[in-house]
Amino acid sequence: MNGQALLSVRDLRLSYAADRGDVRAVDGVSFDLKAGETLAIVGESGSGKTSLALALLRLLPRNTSQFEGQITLNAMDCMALSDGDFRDRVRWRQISMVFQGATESLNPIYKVGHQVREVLTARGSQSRDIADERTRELLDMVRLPPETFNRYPHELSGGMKQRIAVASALALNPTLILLDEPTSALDVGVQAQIMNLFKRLKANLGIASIFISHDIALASDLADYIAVMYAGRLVEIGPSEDILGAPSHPYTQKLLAAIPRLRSDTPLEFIPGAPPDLSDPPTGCRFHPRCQFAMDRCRVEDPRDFATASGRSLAACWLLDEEAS
Amino acid sequence: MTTRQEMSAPPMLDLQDVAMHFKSRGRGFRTTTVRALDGVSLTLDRGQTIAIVGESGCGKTTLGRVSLRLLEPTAGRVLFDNVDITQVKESHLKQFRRRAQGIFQDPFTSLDPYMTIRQIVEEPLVIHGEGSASERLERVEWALDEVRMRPASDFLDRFPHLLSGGQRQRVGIARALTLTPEYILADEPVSMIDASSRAEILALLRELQERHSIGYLYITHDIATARHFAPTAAVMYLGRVVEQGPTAQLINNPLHPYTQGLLQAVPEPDPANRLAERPVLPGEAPSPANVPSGCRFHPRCPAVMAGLCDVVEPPLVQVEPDRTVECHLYGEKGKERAAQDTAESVSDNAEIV
Repeated sequence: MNGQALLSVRDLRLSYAADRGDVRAVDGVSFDLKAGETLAIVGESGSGKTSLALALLRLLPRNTSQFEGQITLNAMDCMALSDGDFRDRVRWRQISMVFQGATESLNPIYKVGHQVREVLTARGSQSRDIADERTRELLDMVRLPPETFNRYPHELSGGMKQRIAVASALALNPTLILLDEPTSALDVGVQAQIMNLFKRLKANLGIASIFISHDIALASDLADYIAVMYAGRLVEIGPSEDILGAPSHPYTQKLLAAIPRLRSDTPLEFIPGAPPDLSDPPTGCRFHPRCQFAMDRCRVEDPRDFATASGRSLAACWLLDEEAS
Repeated sequence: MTTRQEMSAPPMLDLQDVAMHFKSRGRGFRTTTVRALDGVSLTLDRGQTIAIVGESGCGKTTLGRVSLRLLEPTAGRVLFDNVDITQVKESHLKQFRRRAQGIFQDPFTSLDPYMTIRQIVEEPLVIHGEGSASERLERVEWALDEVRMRPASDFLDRFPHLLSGGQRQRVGIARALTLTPEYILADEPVSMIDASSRAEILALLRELQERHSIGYLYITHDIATARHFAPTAAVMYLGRVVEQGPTAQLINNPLHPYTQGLLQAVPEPDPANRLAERPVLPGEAPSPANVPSGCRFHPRCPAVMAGLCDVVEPPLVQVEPDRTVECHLYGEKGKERAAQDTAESVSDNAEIV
């Protein structure tokens, strides 16, 4: 994953100031994403997945105490841009986002078509007629009938509202779309419909995406690559085939073993304990207090990334070092 | 889950043809009737689990609320130990409420943020006037220990916001446990919990079931967790049970087209998933205020037989001793029709055959 990366992230850090100290939500994250491909970021709640997305869009909460690292998009150094330049050139134009709970964020007193159009008129400074036409095109793209334009949010089902949120994210032709738990409030049937829509957009428009979810099974519906996030770090990243078929990090293994399978009686495993407090993460490997393979070294020394057996993935775990030596 | 005639002892919970219709204001002066439940029958024995699987709006939550008499059904009977709790006077209801408890979906809103863990878990005891203060404390500590919040003294004076989602749900379970109920309604108890902790909560519930012989009505939209938690399951669609049977059989050999569609929509971790679109049922379930004629699933059904499914309500067919399905495909009329259609298509394509 180098050379022609669309997005390249290096050692990204985002911390929030809190009473109990700095909360290091994103703590040294690096990855590359090629044009047209999907990277899924999976992890438990509180692992920093959403913070990572907010950092990429530079939507920083007021109590941000640290925001650094490198973000290169289409060979452009995003971190060098001023806030104003970033807003004008990157946010929504190149990177857009479908937020978690987007269905609840529509304004109830405006027609949904107007809410999609607003993105175009406010950010695209287009005339209303052109924007209207483009809005209808967007509705068609997300498979909503044209009359949806004049509907109010309460007249739409959850799945339709989600499609509106996707249409808004597509409005300015971004090259990358961040999908933060985009189906979490939806029924399984509607969820499958929305995932099909994402597949179609990926195939037809070639939009790259970062799919954020706590559900690794759902992520497999879209992901070319999967990154597993734990306590602000990516502990394993690689092609979906590797992560789902031969996971190397004990956390990834446990995450997969915890998923109830439809056609298997294998008893489910779970990860005892809870993810750590990000203002005071454990020393050494952050997963060591919950890891059944923890060694002395894991308690003191932070593991670096090791290539896995396939050579295509990276995992931050000392076990891989043991195997090599 | 056997038929009533075969049963020697009456089941603990026996829902008979339960209906729950809500009147709501429609446009202008008209009122509309929302048929949340429309003739549901099922039974649950002590120490057993039955899963109610369905999407939002199918009536599964209403069914749960009726089973606890948090709602009075508009028709049908709800027998608990052979007593119809829909007919019981309020004064006698307290007896029932000791024996039947609920665990709910959202551990973030179902716990009062201004109460300590101790107060939350103790509340049912206070309401039922159980024991002295010290006896109640002992009971609270016991319940917290049962849900593996140990040592209990560490949690007693904490507030819910200091706990993780999984811990909060444990508090909800401890609260349901204090009165040692025989029946617990578990309404989506793990749907708002991280995937990695779901298995832990379900394992805990099963452990408590074995120790205290609790019967669970497990309400879920997630048929995969039902597979691992409930030996039998009923699939609901728009206020009716469309298919019922052993969960593993329902999954391996789904009969009702709705069950088939539901199963196809469930993702399993597989890198091949991304390569093709998933077959899905068209549209979304209509509102229970506007139930389609005939079979209520017919507008979305891939196997719909025009002139039959949209007109005649489907029969309840006992396909195997422990499996039922409500679908024309398995009824007499549907079979006749299918035979006719095959005969026609055979004669149409005689040369090919």
